[in-house]
Amino acid sequence: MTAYLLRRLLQVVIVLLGVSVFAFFIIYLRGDPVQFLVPIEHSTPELLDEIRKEMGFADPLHVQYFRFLGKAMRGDFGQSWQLREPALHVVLERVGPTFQLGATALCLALLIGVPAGVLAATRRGSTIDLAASWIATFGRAVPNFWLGIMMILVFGVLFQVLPISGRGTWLHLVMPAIVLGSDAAATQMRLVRSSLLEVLNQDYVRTARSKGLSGGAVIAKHALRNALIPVVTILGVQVAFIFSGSVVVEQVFAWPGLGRLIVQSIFRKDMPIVQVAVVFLGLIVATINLLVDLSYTLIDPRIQYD
Amino acid sequence: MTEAVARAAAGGTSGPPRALRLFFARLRRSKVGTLGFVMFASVVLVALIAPLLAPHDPREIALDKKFLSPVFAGGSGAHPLGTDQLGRDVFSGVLYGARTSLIISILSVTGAFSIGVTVGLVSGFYGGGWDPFFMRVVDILQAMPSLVVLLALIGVLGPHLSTIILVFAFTGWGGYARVVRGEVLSVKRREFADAARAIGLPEGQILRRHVLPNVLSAALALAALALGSVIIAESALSYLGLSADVVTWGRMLAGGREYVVTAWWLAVFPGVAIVYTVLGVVFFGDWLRDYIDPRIRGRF
Repeated sequence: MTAYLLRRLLQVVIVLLGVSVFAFFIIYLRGDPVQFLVPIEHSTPELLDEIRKEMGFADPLHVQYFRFLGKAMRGDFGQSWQLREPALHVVLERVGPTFQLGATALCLALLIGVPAGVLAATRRGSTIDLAASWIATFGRAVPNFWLGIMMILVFGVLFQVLPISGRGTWLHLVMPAIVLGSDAAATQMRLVRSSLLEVLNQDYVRTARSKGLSGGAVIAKHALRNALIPVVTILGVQVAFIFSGSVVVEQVFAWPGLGRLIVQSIFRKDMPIVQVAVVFLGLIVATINLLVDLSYTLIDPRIQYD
Repeated sequence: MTEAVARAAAGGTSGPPRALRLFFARLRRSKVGTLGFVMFASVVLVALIAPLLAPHDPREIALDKKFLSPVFAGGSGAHPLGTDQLGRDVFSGVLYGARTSLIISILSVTGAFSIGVTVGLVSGFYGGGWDPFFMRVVDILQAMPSLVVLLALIGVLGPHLSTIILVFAFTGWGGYARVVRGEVLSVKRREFADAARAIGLPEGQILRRHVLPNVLSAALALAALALGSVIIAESALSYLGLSADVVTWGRMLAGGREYVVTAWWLAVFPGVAIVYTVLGVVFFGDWLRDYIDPRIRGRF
């Protein structure tokens, strides 16, 4: 277990180093990074040189990268180019709303997806099963931002029961959370259905049935726990998906979170903010994938790492 | 059989008539698969002949004609799906939008497929130092939310058609590499690969003749499904303001969101076009996956 943990941690470190290289090189994608900072009409060679020296762009690339990495590990990503405060601060201020939205969306997805999957698997071929699989198929074809706009049209404009933008009361959370969680719910449903169907054919389920346990008890105690592994596995992927989705969904609903900040910063060419956001998201996704891997031993004691 | 199928689906090098006949005979037996094929083919057709079908130039601004309702909501037949905030014809925009969407999605999936299959083959077949290197690169690519990566790269480089395609291709190959590598590892230990080795075939030949056709089918099935997600991702980027053209479905929807209270048709029709296209891809892609290789059903 310890050896496995160390190997796995090493992998996380390698991934994070890769993420940091990506974050660092974003500002070099178009060559000279000073062009983000100075409007072309104001630039003179002397001014550009001065800025290059001041920002450290004149040093060799590897020197700059290790300086970036060293500072990043201490939480220092420099000042935002537009807002004149530390970039990390600006990002951390917007993390709360995104976590609130993302966590609500993920809970919704589990609360709807898992029971729907159980229903579909235990009543295989029924109307519920068919309806669920058709909804899931359609869900793959509907972009979440369009689903958001359609919900705004129906519940915000037509019936006027829900606010169409901003953050405030829990009512503001309803539409964005449903939209953000819909993909994850459909995926969970499909996964629970297929893995439960597989498990229901196993000998131990037949044994549990034949010793007189009720259908519900068999599902809850014997089948579902074994069917949960793929559900947990996909959670790591889904967290990354939810962060991707939040970029668009926050834009649709004017939700003041990290996703919206990323979009605004890209258009304002505020690169330090983009760099923090990339590193931050990479860190979260890598950590969650690590936790997911480690949680297998809790769900299924037969899995031993060595 | 899978070899012929892979060839047929990839455009065919030898004996396409027979393989194609088999392909369509099977396709006709699946209602959903046929429906998906017809839906997607109709979008391709519309994209090709958009100038013949469109009643107006979708970029033409006419401020005296802004916010006209669609024909079935009291508007005129001259603008069947109404006009937008600048008086541009929505119907023509929806037709022309198919072009950008298909060019980007088809070319970038082809690019990602080529890179991913190559990397997967090298990684799985030769192994050595390249295997862990490539797999870590895939880990890194998949460790970040994809839309954030796309947004950062395209936002900095600028939303040109070729840039968008290249960025999608260079960030999207990880899945193919993983699938192909896995298939290669299982295929190269099977009897026919051993037999080929035993009769003295060089490794390169084994790779090309025996391993490649077997693993291509798995990657092709993945590509069919990736097409749908690229169409959606491209429309999302357009929606956020990074579009290769003035006329894209995503960009039209951004206007639709802004004027959702007054002009619902702007928010509805471009979205219907996206859903129709992707639904066609999903129906056809699901069928293709089962047709190419029934063993991999449900693995994606």
